[in-house]
Amino acid sequence: MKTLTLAMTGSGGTGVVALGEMLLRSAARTGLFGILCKTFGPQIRGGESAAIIRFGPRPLASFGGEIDLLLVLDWTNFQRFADEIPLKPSTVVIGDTAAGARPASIPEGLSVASLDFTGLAQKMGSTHSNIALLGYVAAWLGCDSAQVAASVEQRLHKHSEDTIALAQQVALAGAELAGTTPIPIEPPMAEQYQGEERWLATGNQLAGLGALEAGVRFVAAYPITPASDALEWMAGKIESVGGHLMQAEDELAAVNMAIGAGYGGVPAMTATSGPGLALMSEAMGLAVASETPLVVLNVMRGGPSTGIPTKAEQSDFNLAVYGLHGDAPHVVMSALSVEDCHHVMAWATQVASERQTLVIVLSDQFLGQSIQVLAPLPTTGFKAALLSPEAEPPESSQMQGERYFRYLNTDSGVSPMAVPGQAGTAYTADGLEHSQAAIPSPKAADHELQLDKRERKLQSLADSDQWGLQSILPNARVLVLCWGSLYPIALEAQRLLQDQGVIVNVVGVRLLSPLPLEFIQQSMDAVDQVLVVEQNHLGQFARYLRSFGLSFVSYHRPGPRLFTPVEILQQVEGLNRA
Amino acid sequence: MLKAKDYKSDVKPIWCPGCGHYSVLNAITKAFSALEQAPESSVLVSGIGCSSRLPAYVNSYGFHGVHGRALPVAAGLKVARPELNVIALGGDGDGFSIGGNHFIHACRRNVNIVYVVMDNEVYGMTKGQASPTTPEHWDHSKLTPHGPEVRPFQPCAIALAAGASFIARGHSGDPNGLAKILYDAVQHPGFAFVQVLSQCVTFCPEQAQWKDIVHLEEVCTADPVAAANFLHGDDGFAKGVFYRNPRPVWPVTHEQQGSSDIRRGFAL
Ligand SMILES: Cc1ncc(C[n+]2csc(CCOP(=O)(O)OP(=O)(O)O)c2C)c(N)n1
Ligand code: SF4
Repeated sequence: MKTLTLAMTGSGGTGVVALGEMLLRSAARTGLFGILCKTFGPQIRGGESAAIIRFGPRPLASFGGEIDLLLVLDWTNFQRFADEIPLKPSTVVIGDTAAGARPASIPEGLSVASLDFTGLAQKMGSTHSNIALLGYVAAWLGCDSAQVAASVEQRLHKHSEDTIALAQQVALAGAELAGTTPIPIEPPMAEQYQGEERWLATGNQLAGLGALEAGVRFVAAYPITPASDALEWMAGKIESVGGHLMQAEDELAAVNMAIGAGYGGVPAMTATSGPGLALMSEAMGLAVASETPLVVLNVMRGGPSTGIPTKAEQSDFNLAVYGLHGDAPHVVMSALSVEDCHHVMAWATQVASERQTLVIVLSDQFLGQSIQVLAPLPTTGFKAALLSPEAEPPESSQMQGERYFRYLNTDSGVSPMAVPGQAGTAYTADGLEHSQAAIPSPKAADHELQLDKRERKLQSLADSDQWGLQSILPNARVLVLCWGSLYPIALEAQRLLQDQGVIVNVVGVRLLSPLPLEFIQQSMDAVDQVLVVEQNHLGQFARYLRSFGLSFVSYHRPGPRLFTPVEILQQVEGLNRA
Repeated sequence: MLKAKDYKSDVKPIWCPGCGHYSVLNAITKAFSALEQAPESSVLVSGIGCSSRLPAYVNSYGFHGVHGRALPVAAGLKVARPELNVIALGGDGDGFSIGGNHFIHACRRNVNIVYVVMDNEVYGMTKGQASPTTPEHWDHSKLTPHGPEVRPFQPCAIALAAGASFIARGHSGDPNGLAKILYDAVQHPGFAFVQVLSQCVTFCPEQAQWKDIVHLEEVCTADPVAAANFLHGDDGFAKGVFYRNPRPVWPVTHEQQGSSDIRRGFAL
């Protein structure tokens, strides 16, 4: 599959991310697939930003690696992206004449063409050089003017008709420039396209969709990058399906609000990122002990502390898996791609409700904020029950005498849950250790029984066929094992290696805790060597796997540099040499 | 009609004999009886502390959570299940110290719940440390041997400033008066704050004198300025409903906007 990666950079509101989004949308209208990764500096407005887009004939879930085409509206602060925009000798660079001085970090050999996008826009009475550049690049990608005009209109829909019309004119002028001064690279080609429906979505939006479709009807929110946009997307939608979103005063409130709703029988969630997850840990333990369904989406960024809020890392693994006090078995899942954000959140919603427990879902800034072109996703079929006070009370076998045993020790470990409003089953849910009848109890026997029960009810989850995704090839000798956003990147490494005659299997673990040990063991047993890859400094997942007695080679490095397929390929090659 | 005792559960309280919280429990069950509530339609939500043990002693649904977080649990529950009668409760440490931020925001958010704080000016459960309402020179705690040396928190004045729409104070020595206040608080649409002077006989035996100094004040007003003037001159031992001024309750109902087809925005 021939793909092409282009990067756009600019500073101070030059609108590169908007440009990227309109370009992706225009190209999608011609049948191309693509993914756009946004990257920002720490400033709130203005400052530097960059968009990296990869185009190809089939769905793309990862950023490739080196940049084929670099488009520059402004060179200011370009060096800040040196890590994320890896250039190669053949990278074609096209800059705006007004872009300013080219930084020394651009290798000598690279040719840099200057075109006057600013002048082109100004001539028409517009300050939007990004739109001129959009027209130029879109024409090269094969978009016709109607497709570009539609994308411009969609992006600027809040502006006046005149503003939109002017922008469309500027885009047209950019397209004309492409006729006279073409980009000297072969554009990626779409496969036959009959105008089938296509979606443009971020992982955060799809996570929200998965949750709502699976039945979440209460969301508590406290803003934090890069989780906020999942919450913002849901805020616009949840009321229309009969639910509520509350903005809380802090994460402690947010998670407790969700617990309140969950206790009331209404499937509930919150979303956050590292620092917020740390604040939520006490209450997450409460959800475990009181057996209240709760979903927490954690969109990881660089850490520790406030770290690098705008960029991806996989370093909250330890906090998610180990971060609760006491023995607090809970479920941790990871989203294996932008589209898997939809699937995993729906599954998490169902699991939280049917097992009456906490489910933490790990996504990251890359999955959460990248915009991807994809075929419409089918609904997952996962569903959380909305518990109703009109329901039949728990069966008499679950009532011991006159008393309702909320925390009854059942074979499955899941006890019958009544909700407020149901007569005859009133009880007090408790984070304090309790008897089966929900009465606070410091007795060792009650503690042991409840600890066993809470752990037991999660164990069978490890046998779920949802535990992970895998790409298994005949005669593979090596397994690349990963979790979260590294899965699509590892899949691509698999294809690159295959081109070189090296056959590897790839497994992405969706269920991190309880660990689907048997499945993982099987996939390891089928090969000679195993490479575990992850994006954090400590190798947190690798340490966890080792605690189960597994052995393998670990490759880990922190963010925020985007992980590339080539990087994994090189590690596999290193294995073969060793 | 159910009697007050029908609202008692069979769980035996852990409280010290003579603790003020017993009377608060009695007042709650009396109020429930007067309200003719089905036991299953109420939920008592609490944090952690001696006072926060109360939900288990009432024949209703309950949620005993973590320290300081009763209000968010109660608000989330009420918004998710608006037909329930939701009452949050706890101690002064729970509500004004660790939970202080939630207190302020609950007042201004105005979700339709009642919040009862059993104020004994001390941390009872952790054995007698100063709380935010402890007098400045109370030197009985090893943790603050010179007293907290900090001005006590003024719960009712703060509730008013933060936007609470119902503010009252009761005394555990007067369960009937308190039951009446709780009855009114439940009827009030919006966030109703009830401070209850509830003595800790173990760590503050001097609070036995409260019965001699509390005084009933008929000052209920809808005027925030009048209420502020009263509360600034308050000696902390007035009881009664001080302020009642209903305002829009959260969540506000909006006209349905947009389509319920939540997938629509994804198409190109
Ligand atoms: C996060 C956390 N910090 C501290 C504690 C310890 N703790 C338990 S109860 C309590 C104070 C309770 O005092 P108050 O709310 O005034 O209630 P009272 O016991 O006096 O009724 C504290 C500090 C805890 N349980 N959780
Ligand atoms: S320590 Fe004080 S507050 Fe706690 S039960 Fe005893 S008297 Fe009541």
